[in-house]
Amino acid sequence: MTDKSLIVRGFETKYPTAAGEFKIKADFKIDPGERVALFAPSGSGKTTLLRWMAGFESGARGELLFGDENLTQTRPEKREFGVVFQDYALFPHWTALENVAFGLEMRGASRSDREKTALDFLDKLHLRNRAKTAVGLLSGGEKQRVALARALVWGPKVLLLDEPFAALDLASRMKARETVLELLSHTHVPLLFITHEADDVKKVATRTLEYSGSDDGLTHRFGKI
Amino acid sequence: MRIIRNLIALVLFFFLIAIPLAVLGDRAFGTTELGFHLHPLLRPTLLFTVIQATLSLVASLILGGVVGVLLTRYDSPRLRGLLFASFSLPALAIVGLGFKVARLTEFGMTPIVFAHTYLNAPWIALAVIEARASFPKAWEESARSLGANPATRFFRLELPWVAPRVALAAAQVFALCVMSFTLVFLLGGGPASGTLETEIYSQVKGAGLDLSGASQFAVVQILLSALPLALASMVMVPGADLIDTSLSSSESEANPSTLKTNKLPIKAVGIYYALPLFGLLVGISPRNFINQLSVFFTSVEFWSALGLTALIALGSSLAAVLISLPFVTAKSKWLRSIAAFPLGISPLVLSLGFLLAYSKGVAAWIDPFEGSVTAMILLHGVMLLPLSIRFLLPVVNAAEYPARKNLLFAARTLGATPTQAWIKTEGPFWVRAVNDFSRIAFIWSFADLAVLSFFGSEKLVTIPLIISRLYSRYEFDAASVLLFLVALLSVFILMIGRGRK
Repeated sequence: MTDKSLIVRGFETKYPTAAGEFKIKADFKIDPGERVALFAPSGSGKTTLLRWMAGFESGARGELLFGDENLTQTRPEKREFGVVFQDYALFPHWTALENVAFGLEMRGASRSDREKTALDFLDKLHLRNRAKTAVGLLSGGEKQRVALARALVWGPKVLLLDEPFAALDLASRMKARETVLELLSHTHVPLLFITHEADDVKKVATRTLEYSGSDDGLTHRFGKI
Repeated sequence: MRIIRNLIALVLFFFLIAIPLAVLGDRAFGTTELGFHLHPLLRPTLLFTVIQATLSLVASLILGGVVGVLLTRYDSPRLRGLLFASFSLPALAIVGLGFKVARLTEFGMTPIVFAHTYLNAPWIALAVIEARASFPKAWEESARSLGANPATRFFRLELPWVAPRVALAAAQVFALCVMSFTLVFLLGGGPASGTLETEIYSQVKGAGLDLSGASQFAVVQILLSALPLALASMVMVPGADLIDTSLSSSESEANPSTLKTNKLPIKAVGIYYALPLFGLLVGISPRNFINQLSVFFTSVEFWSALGLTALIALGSSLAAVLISLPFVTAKSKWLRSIAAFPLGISPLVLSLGFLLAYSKGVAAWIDPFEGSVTAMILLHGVMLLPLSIRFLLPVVNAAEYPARKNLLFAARTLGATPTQAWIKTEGPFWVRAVNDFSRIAFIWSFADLAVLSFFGSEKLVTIPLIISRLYSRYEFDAASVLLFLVALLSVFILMIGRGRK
């Protein structure tokens, strides 16, 4: 359980395009237990913002705070953020169990401990019988659940999900939303997720991040600025 | 239509590869009136071949590996194209540099290993760059988000991804060093530095004709070059077949300003290739250079050899395209994989197979004494088959994409006949691929000493044969000037039509 908020302060990045200078600005705060949706048009910089928060984008201005801790210059592997990538980025030649246990292994858990914890987690997601299957062979819905398990099992401080439901069909999508909500009911971390679907916002989010874009499509703002 | 294409591909494979190799195998281990015996030089020659190929491979791995790691961050199609051009860099062009090394040390192992390394290190560098650049960035990022440090990421994810790809390139380099003829023949300094490949030549074109002995060298060489290739191709890249390409990657919002646009690596690789070219002229005075040029330009033999070599090179490029067409359009993985056979066979091995299969009996069309231009062209066509497929297959595969099919349909709805529509939509892709391939094929064929010597004769003198003769008569300056001209021609051929879309 955490009682710290995630704060993005004065974020600004820009790069030249054929149409002019493209700018993304953000200023917002996510409290513990909040599930915030990043709901904005394609090409507005949602993924860039999320990737910067995860530590994969450099060259932007601004600060990323977790409580009083400034994480702006912290390397991704030290941020302790659970990330679910849009295409899940699972290691396809490893089994579901190996994928889920990897975060625990990186935190020094013994083999037996991490396997037990990962198996219990997979069990919760009804994936115990797929634990020894290479994830490349799993269905889209199963991969999505493994990706969620991998990001959550080691107890991250923050959760960032990049279109976690985008690759799923309607039925799997509904089920996946329920899974996410069930998993999050056991945790109390700030969550930010990108989506293009109003239904995802309605079913999963506790609030939507404010968004505004300039008429020429070159400047995009997230949060109250 | 598809059955006919498959049938043509199979017939070509049998006549151009399978039958010559089968006859060769039969000749190597069939008993004669004197009974079966192994050639006395087989063991020492095999030992020397393995040692020089292993040393060349290790040196290529070290040099190419370091260069590959350093250049990965500057990866670009231009850089890859430049490194790939090492395939078209004639082995003859390195000979001049090899001679400089040989004069400092002595003919034999050292200049051979030096020249092989110079020629093959770019292959390794290219493999390292391609493997590292293709490593899924998402794996790296997800591992980092899970807390993996650089060492864990390298050993658990990147190394298992890169190693099999580099192993395949290493096996190719080993095979190329085993099959190398020009460099060993000219830099070896005599029988003491003979490899299986040069012994095949010696047994046929040397003092005593021993076709059975030559066939034994050939069979052992096939095994030696093909075995590592087969082993390396069995090592699978982890997860490569399990990556779900149907899933789109994240939004394309990468900041273009982060792309590395440094031109220094391109220039450095360019200098690497140019070094042998200018190294040839070191020690030759301008006056001597002009004198040598005038000797060549006033020689009938030179112009006749130039015309013949160019004709063979043009014919070889065309033959390679024509031979590869049924294979690339067959849509059969099996047929495409057998078309890769020439990768593990040297030009001289196949030349020997051709000679044995088609110089006597009912199917005879090669005159072993007069030589054969047809055999040279066909052999080059077969040797270039894998490269031709590499260039043409992407065009065939891309034509299956819905967007490309729609182009064809759009042209039809605008009133074009099927042929017109194909010419207008698919034609330009084929022209570009054939153009790119033909230039490399021309250069390779033009400077190939092995086949041009094997099927050459007093009536069929080619430029590589003249260079070889000049070296064997110790006329190094004349040989270097002629090599310089060949290298200049190679550069010119590579440059013409470059960048045409």
